[in-house]
Amino acid sequence: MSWHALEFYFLALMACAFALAVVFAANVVRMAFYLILSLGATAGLFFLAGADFVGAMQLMMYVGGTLVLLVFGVMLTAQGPWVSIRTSGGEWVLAALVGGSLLAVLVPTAMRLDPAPNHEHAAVPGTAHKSENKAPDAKASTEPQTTRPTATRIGLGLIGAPTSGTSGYLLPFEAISIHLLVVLIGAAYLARPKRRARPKLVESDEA
Amino acid sequence: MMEFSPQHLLLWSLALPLIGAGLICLLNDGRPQRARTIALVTTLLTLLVAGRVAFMFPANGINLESTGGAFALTDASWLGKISGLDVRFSVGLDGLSVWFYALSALLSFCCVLLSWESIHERPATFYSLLLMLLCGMMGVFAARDILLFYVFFEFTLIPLYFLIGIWGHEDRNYAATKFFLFTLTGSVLTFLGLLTVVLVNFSHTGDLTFSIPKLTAALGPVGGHPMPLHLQLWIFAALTAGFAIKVPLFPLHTWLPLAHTQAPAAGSVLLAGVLLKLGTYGFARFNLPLAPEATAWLLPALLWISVAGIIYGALVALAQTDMKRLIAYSSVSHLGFCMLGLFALTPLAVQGGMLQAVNHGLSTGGLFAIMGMIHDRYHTREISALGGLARRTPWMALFMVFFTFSSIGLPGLNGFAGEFLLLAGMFQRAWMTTGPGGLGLKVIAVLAVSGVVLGAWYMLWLVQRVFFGPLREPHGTGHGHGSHDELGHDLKQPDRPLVRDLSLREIGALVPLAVFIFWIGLCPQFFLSRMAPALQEATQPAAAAWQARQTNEAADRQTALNPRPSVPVVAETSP
Amino acid sequence: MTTATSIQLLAPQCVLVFTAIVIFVGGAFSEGRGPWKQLGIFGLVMSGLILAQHQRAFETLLQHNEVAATFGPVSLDLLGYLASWLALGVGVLLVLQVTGTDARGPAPEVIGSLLLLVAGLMLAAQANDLVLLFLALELISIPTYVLLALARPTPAGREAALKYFFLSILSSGLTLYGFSFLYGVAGSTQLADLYSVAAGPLHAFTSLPLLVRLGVLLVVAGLGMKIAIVPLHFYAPDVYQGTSPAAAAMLSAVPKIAGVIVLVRVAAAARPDLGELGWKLMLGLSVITMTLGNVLALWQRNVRRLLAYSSIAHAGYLLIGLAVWLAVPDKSVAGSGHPVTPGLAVSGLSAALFYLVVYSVASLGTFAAIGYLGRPDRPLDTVSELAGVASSHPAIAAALALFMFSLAGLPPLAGFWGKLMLIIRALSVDVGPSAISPGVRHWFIVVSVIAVLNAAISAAYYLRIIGAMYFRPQHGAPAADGGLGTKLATGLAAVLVVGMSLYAGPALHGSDVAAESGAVPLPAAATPRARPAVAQNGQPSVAVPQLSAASR
Repeated sequence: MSWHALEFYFLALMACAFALAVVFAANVVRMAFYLILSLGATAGLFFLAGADFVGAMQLMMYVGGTLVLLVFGVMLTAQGPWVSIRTSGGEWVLAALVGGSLLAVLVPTAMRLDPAPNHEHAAVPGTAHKSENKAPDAKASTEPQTTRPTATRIGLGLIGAPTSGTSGYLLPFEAISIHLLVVLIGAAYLARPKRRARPKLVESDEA
Repeated sequence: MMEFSPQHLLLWSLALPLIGAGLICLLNDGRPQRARTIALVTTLLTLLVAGRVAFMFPANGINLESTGGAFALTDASWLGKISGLDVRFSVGLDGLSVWFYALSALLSFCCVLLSWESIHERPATFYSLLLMLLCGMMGVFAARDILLFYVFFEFTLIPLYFLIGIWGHEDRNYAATKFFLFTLTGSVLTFLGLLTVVLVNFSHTGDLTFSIPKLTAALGPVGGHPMPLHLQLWIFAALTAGFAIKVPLFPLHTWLPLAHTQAPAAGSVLLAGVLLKLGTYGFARFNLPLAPEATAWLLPALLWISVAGIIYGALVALAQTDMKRLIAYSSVSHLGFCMLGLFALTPLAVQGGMLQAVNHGLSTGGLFAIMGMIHDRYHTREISALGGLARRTPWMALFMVFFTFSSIGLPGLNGFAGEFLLLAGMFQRAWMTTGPGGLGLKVIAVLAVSGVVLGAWYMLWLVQRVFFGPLREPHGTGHGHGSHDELGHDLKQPDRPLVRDLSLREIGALVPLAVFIFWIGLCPQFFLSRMAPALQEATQPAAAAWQARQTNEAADRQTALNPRPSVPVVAETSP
Repeated sequence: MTTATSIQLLAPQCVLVFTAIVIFVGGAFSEGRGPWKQLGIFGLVMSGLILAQHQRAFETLLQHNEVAATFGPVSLDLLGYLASWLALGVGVLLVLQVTGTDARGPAPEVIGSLLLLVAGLMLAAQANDLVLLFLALELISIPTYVLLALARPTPAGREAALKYFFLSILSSGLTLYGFSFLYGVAGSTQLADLYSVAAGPLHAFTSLPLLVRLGVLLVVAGLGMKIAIVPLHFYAPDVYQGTSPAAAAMLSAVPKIAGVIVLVRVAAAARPDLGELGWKLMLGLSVITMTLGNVLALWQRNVRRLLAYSSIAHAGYLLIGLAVWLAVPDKSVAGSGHPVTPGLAVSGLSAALFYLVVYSVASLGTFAAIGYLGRPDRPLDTVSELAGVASSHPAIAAALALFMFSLAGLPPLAGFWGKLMLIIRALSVDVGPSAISPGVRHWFIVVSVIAVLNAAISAAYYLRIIGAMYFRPQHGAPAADGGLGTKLATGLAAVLVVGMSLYAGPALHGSDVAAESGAVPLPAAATPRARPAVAQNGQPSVAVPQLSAASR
């Protein structure tokens, strides 16, 4: 058993254990904390699989963004400091049903994948959807993943670096920046003291 | 002017009104004097130029073969080949159009004189619209390109719409809108028909041309690509939608009395004198040559519609209490005569019909002009409010009687020539037609003659009521009969001491019409000889188609009546 | 090369964005109302000067017998180029006529938003990538929300802004959803890839055409709201009525132009898989749209509401041209050797584009005139308020009458040429020597009849406006406080209408070449040589200017 496998089992165990802990905990704040750990461990799994970009995204979005939002939301809206949640029987059944069916889909899918020829750890469950991401890039799967971080490649591909061969999305990004400019201007103008600000111009960005 | 060729003169005659209209707008000072002087000079020049062109037109189609029957032809690309549509600015005259063209110029000149003192409100706009209308009218008759024709055809609507709507009488807004929408609805369908003709020709010859003579030639029976009957019927229907409203044929006339009654005098004169002729002209120009078989197929129905218009118009005219309305209904009746002549399809009748169209322009134009003069003086159109005007205004009575005689067809005047020819032609057609159809045509002919009698009745009755008998006139403006006075134009003069007779200006407006009424009445051949070749060419296919139908029907009847000769044939073929 | 060229290509838009930013920033630091209008016009003119440089790029392309080339997500073709000019022209008319909510003139934010919107329109015209197309549409929509929100500080104005905002989001969502289907089929956001998949040999997945159709249907639904096609038109009357004339002018022109161009781009790429759906959809929508628009307009008393229905009706007319384009098999698509009227498909598209131009100018002019006759804080509302304008403001009344007659399609005005082109193309499908099945052909003749009758119906309400101005006595003169800008915009639009009326050739030619380049999909980014690639599919390599039904 290599260090690599050891790390994998450690992180996987952590993710599963804290996921269970989220389920069984009764206190909302504790739940949030366990969720952070579980998601962080999942991010670790991504890093371990060489998917540094997805891992970073996982950290930034779920761990950083969503959870912070969740925690703040809970703290700001909860009446007392230690809100506990009692789950009713029906909810248990429903949640078990949904979770179980997802598991039933994921497990066979993961088992069906062939182990990558040169990489014995390619088939670890955590990287199942990552391998699809890399499938077109045959060269990358044979090389050690650390030589070229995927984030760089994705970034270059997105903005259309000369080597990527595709047109890239630099221009769309610029266009979006102008959208945001207009939204800000409009919102600022409408939010001036004389008039009541309307939230709609902020929403329009999400449209 | 001698150094100008007819082509140049024709172009000048089209351009002069526009130049005049532009000058009026540029030099507008808000008062009528300058605008009407420019308008008078412009129309006079246009009349001279147009008259010169018209009288240069050769009789009997001499020397016109080289240009395909067109005189003074100008042909230039308009939109350019680039756009995919070879729309051309192509103008020229032929026998069908030359007198209508001249009539437009003549009546416009009269109209300026007629409106001299009755238009106080926005005179510059009035006269420039009048000049634009003149341009449109002359252009529509001169156009040799379908799109150009349609452009002018619709363009005449805009100035007249404003003329009726701004300077009309009490109900002018409604009248103008109804007039516009009625004619527009019809003419968009006409437009569709014209486009279909163009495209049918395109599909046969691969030549996307809009040239009227080319289309007529290619789709006529001689050109080799006559359209099948069902297509002809559709096209005939589409074209008729617009032209029949313009004429107007019997059930579609409802806009006409209203528009005529509400229009200012000049508008009525031009509407009756020229614009109604657009319908007649359209039938002769497009329906008959392009859809001859459809014409033949529909002929009895068309003749019935025409004669229904004659009788209906006359009867309704008898019942009118409003002078202008009466004349308007008489127009329905007279236009029925024109259409009857056109659809009778014998050379005599067709010539008579077209000549009658010109005559109607002159005589009814004159009548509407006099109605305008009466309105200027008394601010009423009610027959019952007036009487014995001959004592007050003998000159006006003289002209009225004269135009009435012209209108009812007194021998020696123009109406007689036209009506006689077309009725004679109609009887010819009726006697030439055998079988059950012939009886119907004879009934039509007799009814048409009775229309002449009715026409004499209502016109003479009108003259008798208004101009003879004891003098009766509304006193002052405040309490005239009817309530039309408050919207009259002359509110500045609260009491008119004495109604004056025709002024020199008004006589000047009427005399040119009278001259031509005499001229046509005494020497119709001069006018007919210039029309005849083109008319013959336009109506020949339809007449031939009708003849062919007659022969076929006769043959069918023959077989139906005595089946004996055909039995052996059947017996031979049936085994 | 690619990056540099696409930056060059986008230079006009960059100038507009830069000007807009200057105006935004300047507006924040200046107390009174500065010369923002002038600056806006200046930006548009500068952008035009730079756009004129593209002419040379076309000459280079033409030397290589190419008519279109793609550089990155933007491409250079005549449809985009000419549409950009149209966008600039519309921009000038809009910036001139825009007014503030009070006498002090428009806020700098309004002018800036207008410039960005014009930039969005130009970007939409040049984009060849689904992502960029969508973003360009949004670059039009988002400033529109700002404009509508700033247009009138009344409850009606707020309601209009909010209504437009929500429906526009819905339409964006639908468009995006449709785009995602198209992306799914093509496996790429490039329109050229979509075309090569659609035109390519049948895949193992036989349901792909179905997906393309579904995608296009959703895109049409999304864009239909911007173009104001009937089932999605219902926001228009309320919004036009609630907002200011200038904002209504913008709504009547800009989203319509953008919608049509994007629709053309998408349809050109998806065309091989569209089957009969394309023209049937267009034809059906066209009939409903023009009839409903015209008939409902008859009952309106509010001028802007009336014009809203009129703009709906005009959208219906121009769909006829698109239907002709999609119904007549282009040789490159059919490939079955049927004799087809040469260039008919393209000239159908050309007719639609020409109509779009003619309509936009007349509509912008109308709203400018209405704006001039009202006051900035209380625009002219009902038709009867126009009474007697002919005596008090003869020039404006004459211009307004001109626009009305042009919109009604009376010869010899520009609107007539537009309708003529549309109807003659529709009739050509039936009468011309085409090899389209009879079932198709008769629909087009029916639609032609409906279209001309609609033109007559529409005359009724246009005449009401003219009649009010000319025939009714004046009572309570309109304020006529719209300022010099609205007057200039009215005059400019009137000059353009008269120009296109008497000398329609250049505009017709322009729409012909634009249609010629728009009817085929844009080339792929990797192969800037466009025409040879298309020629392999049977389309002869065509030099730009010559085409059309009459050229044979």
